[in-house]
Amino acid sequence: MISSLHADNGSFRDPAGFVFFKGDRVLRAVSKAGVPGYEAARDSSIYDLLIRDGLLLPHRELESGAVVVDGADYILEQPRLPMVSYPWEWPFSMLKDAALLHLYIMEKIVPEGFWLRDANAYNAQFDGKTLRIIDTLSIGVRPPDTPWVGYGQFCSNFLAPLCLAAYSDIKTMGLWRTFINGFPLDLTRRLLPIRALLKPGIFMHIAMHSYFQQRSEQRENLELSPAPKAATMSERALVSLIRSLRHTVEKITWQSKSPIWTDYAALRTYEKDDLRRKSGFVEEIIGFVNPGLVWDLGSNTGEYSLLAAAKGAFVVSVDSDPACTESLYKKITRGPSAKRILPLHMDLSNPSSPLGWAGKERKSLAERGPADLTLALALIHHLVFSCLVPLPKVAEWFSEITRHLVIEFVPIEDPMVRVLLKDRNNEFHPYSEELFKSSFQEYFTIAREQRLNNGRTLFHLEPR
Amino acid sequence: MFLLGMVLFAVLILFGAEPAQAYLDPGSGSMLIQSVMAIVLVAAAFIGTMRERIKSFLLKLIGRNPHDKEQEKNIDS
Repeated sequence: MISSLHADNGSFRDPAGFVFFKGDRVLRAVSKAGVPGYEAARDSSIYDLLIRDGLLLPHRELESGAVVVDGADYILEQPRLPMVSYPWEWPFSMLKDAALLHLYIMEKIVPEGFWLRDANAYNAQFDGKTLRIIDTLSIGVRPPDTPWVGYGQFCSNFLAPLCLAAYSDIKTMGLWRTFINGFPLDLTRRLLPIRALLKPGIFMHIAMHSYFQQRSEQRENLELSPAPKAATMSERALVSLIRSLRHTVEKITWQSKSPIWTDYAALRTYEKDDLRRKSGFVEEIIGFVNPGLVWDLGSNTGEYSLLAAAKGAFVVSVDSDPACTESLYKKITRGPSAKRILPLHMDLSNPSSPLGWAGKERKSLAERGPADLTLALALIHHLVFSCLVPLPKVAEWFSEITRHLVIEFVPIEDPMVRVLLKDRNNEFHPYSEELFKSSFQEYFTIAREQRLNNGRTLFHLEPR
Repeated sequence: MFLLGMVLFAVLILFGAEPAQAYLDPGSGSMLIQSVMAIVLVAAAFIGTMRERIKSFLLKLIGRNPHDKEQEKNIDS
């Protein structure tokens, strides 16, 4: 049995294997059910091909007996990801790239007699530079003339959320937190506008697909198919299907129309001197703390995420505006020099919570921390005045997610606070610099502070 | 293509489908529709090829080389 080893709660579904941790090491056990597929892919160099092309996370097969786990015929070691993320947190283009990644792999390996045994969005992870499949055992041998077993999952994990985000509303990405195993296709069909359903790819892969699913379910429930006939599909037809899916996905685009994003420069309350002071302060603290993992909460355009990444940290850049995270994702992936930044969309008043089986399968934001350093710049007034979280609760939450904190205190006289309060009739939680300091000093020590000409103050808080 | 798909769909929905061996439930509807789409996609490719051949044949009949346009383009570029 696993004793000093710690099993990952998110990898128990596949009987072919599971992930566990030994200290900092990430290991993948290959169970008896996974051995034939693993050996076939290894011996035919499929893994080497996909790893070389940057489509699959590398692994190393450990020598027999190096780590002993009951029920494991092979143990593979994989590099540790700086942070796991989930599709409800991803920018639109990250989900689209993850969809295309699955299809590129299928196009490469189907002619070699292999396929992806699943099309699970959680198997694609962005490490700040590359988006790759992390589940080695997803690659399996395709039984001849079999339709793709992952087709239904692909449509519900990728095509449906992408279509809804692009043709209905980007906010439908939040449905992931209810439907963690993929969007139901019948719901998707009902929510999509007619103009989307009339597109040939969406008509086939969503509308008709959903109809087939419903009819089959009805027949199964009524036991109308006692001796079903196996569905068959030639290799050529499967490749055509994958191409059709690829063309459909490639055409789905989301045009972000965020006033905050487009008018951001006009909204800024900073003069050049203050901006220089702020950047200097942040840089100095990053240099002092030398963090491996930085969380930039309320990152907006990602200005300070880029600054922290340039100093060598891995930065998780969180914002509630999907247009901001989309823009940052495109900047870092399509730009000339990739930075180690993971842009994630999240409403900080309702951050990612534990989900799935036993409430442990998918982790909360806090469980994926703590961060070595968190940046909370121009954020606190939004938490107190827009999200209505009292200052002591804000301080308590930060103490649970980070070791060091760089936080900007925005006084009540600030023009941005006045905008937030204009219709509030002075009804809000107590808010002052004194209360801010006493609340945070419950958990942190004030190590440094920097006053700015615009009345705001930057604090570096150290753990007590 | 939609019409063809719908006709095939109507015919094939009469048959059931048995899922392939897989750890995740591929769903018999999701497996069956792929067989239908395979026919649609192959038929679409066939119709496309035939259309090209007929077009090329008709152009030859009226004494025009179907590749003239492409050649003109290449010369221009």
